[in-house]
Amino acid sequence: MNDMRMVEREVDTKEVKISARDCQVYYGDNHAIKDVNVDIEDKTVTAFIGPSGCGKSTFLRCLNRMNDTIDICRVEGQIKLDGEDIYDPAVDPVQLRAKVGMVFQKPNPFPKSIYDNIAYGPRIHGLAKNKADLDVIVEKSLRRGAIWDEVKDRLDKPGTGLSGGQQQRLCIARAVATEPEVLLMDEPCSALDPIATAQVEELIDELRGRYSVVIVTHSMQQAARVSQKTAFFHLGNLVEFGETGQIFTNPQDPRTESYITGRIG
Amino acid sequence: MTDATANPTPPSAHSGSLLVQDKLTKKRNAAEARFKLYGLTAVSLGILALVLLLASILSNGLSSFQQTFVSLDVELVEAKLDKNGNRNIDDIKKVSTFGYAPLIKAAVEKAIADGGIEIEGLTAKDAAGIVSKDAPAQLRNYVIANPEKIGTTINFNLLANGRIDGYQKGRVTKESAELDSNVSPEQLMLADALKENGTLVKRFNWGFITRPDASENRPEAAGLGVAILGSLYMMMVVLVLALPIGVAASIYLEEFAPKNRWTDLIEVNISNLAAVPSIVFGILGLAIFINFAGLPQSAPIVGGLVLTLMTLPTIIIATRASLKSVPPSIRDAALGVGASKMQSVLHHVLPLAAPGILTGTIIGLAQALGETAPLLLIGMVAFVREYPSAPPEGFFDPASALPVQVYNWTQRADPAFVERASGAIIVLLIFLVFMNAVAIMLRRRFERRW
Amino acid sequence: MPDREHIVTSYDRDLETIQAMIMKMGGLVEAAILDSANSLERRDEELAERVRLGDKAIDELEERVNEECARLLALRQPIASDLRTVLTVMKISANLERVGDYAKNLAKRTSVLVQMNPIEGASSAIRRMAKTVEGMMKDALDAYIQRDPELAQDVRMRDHEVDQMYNALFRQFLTYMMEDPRNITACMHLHFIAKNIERMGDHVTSIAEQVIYLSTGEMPEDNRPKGDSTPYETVELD
Repeated sequence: MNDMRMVEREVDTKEVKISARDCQVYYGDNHAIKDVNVDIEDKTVTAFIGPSGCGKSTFLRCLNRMNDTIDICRVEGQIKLDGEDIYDPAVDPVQLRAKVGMVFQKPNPFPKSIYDNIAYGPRIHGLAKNKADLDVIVEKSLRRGAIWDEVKDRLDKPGTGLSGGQQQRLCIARAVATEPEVLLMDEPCSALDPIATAQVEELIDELRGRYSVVIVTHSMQQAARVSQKTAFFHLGNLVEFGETGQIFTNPQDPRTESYITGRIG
Repeated sequence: MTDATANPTPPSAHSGSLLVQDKLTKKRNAAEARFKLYGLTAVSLGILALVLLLASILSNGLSSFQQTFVSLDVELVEAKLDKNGNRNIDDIKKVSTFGYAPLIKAAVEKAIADGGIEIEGLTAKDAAGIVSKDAPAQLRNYVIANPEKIGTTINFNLLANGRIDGYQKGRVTKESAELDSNVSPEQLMLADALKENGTLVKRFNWGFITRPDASENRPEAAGLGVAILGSLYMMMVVLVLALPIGVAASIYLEEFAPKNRWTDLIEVNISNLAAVPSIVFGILGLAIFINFAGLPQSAPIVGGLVLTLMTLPTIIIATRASLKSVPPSIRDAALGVGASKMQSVLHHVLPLAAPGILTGTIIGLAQALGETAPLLLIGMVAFVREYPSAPPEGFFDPASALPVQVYNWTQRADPAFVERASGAIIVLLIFLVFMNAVAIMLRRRFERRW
Repeated sequence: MPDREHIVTSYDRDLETIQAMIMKMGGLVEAAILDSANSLERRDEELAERVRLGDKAIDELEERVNEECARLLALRQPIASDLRTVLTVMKISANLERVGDYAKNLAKRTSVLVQMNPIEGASSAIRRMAKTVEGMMKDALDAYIQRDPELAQDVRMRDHEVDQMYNALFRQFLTYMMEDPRNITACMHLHFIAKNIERMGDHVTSIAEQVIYLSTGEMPEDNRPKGDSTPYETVELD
């Protein structure tokens, strides 16, 4: 039985992409994240689960310094991307965010054409020398976002005219267009119907071959379906971090167990 | 189960048929009906007030767009207008309006004679008096513009005297003329006769919109030209200054400024500024722009600056509101793909907020357009007959403004100016309606994209 | 397993329902084991008949457990300890159903054996063996209710005893058959009965293993003593 599992699941240890050490986050006086240590691997989907307000989204937003936009937010400890501290004063968050892309809870395409939605990132980062380059990037990104076939005939139509699921895949394609190394997803399916959710999940699984994906989700089933590693946050603590199958069949911490089985606590 | 039988559930509060309204429901429905009635009454009162206002303005003012003209064949006698006969423009200019008056007088007499009109007691002076005192100036301007016409006879539509105009519009009657030193019943009879043979005509009054203001006893010649230009110049100044300053301030406050006591203080003060009486801005303008900075009085530039100060809070508040209404997800999206703060604001937030900003700006401009009090203080109430020149020099020339012109005219004795003032109000209202329509159109146009 | 309740109380009720059904099934199966062994010892055909008929109830219960579990899996998507509970319920019910079938088979053979001469000592030995298995079953089910992996481990170890009893009987029956070929029919039946009881013991062991999996999340290491030596048994004809 154990041998079978070894064959079916890749358990080869992958390179660590992001490593957090003693990470603390404060919102004013509120200690939102406490002593989080976690290693996020390359080419792996890592899911963050936990009850509302447990800090999972906060921690996710620390990984590309989106919390910088909140004045009262303070981050301590170390978060390293490929061995470089992203909170080093020399790091420009804009450069970081080009490497660590983000997809948000609500599909938020720019109210521009589908083409411009994708082209925006490459344009501001100077990834394309001319229109032809840009066309190539747009097509490639839309294909990676698994939405090319649906939109190729209406690239000049506004992105906001797509359905919810398509919008979210457009947003994923937009995030992919800047050639990031890590993709952060903050509850990407919470506003989508089951079919659209399945499409996005399938897409996440495909993206795994190329990026390190970190996904925050309220749906434990979703975490179970898409991730290889799962981290359970509770009251700002990282309670348990491990292989997804293990977390969902045999969690080690009673708090994890209580949460994922839907018990009071 | 035993508990249930021991404590039978109390009879439901909602027992009884649904088809019969219980007392409480009836009471609530009656209260609702009353409340609707109050609202309807309030709306009706508002509409009634508006209708009355419009009706009174329109009934008083619409007639100012019509004006009575006397169609006369005037002989431009060379001997009087160009004694040397060499068509030297400087020599022609030396002839003042007094030189033209006899020509008109002759023309009127000729018209009376040709029409075979005989009115007892009508003196030659009275007969000439049905033509406006402004008519010689009208004639002189024409001759200076067309010196080659001297010596010919040309048909002119000369302005009729204000009283004759009033008689045509029913404002002056033969009874009132008896008591009026400015007009005699004989003149009115002459006017009737001339009207019969087509010499006296009522036509659309372009002059009301294009001509400058006129003096106290020539209401028929008074126009809004200078006031409209002055208002236009001021609006240009306001737009050019208030829009960029207001938008830049709002963007900084909304997107970049740290949230602390100082920014809170600024915010509160901006809101308060919007409520400061406009006359205070006038005093400020007088003290700073005229006394301290030494800008000329009555100039559109000063008016524009004062109105800019007054409009800024409105624009800032509107802009901040529309910036706030841009969903934060758009900012996140831009930051998420690695845009800098400024890029996210300029590329995404500002275009989305543009309709709101433009609407706020136009409403601010409309407010400024109708503002009178501060302009009175900076001297724009002065009587200005000269058109300001083209911008930018024109900004420093004396000019009037529409609301000030209204104020000015209502101060004058001649009842003909009441009509003019109402007419000016109509012009002002048309401008306001036009600007609001533009605001609505812009909002519709841009909002479609969202 | 945390003893806290689910936020959705109907979920708790559903889980309790399937476990109650297992306990009911366990009670029926225990009785069937004892009754069938007693019917053999007392040559009580009527009791044997009752055991045979009673198996239907066990089968029906198993079917209901399966249905409920399928429903629960579909509607609640249990995970972690809840998932393990449902999985073990399904396996235990299958084990119990098999044990019930063996008891029924025992009762059937009783009806045949009643027609033959009794083999001396065999019935009581079989009854003792059945009693042991029944005791193991009782403990396994107790361990299940109390989520007691130690008691379950104890049950696993006791399967050794049953195997040894079976080995003894195996040799005894071989001897009887060699002594007198007329005994062959009865001894063959008795041997199958003993074999079936030994199989019951294996199923009970499996139940005990499920209990361990349920409470620890891991299957026990395969290190218990194996007592069934009959595969290697040879008999020399003298």
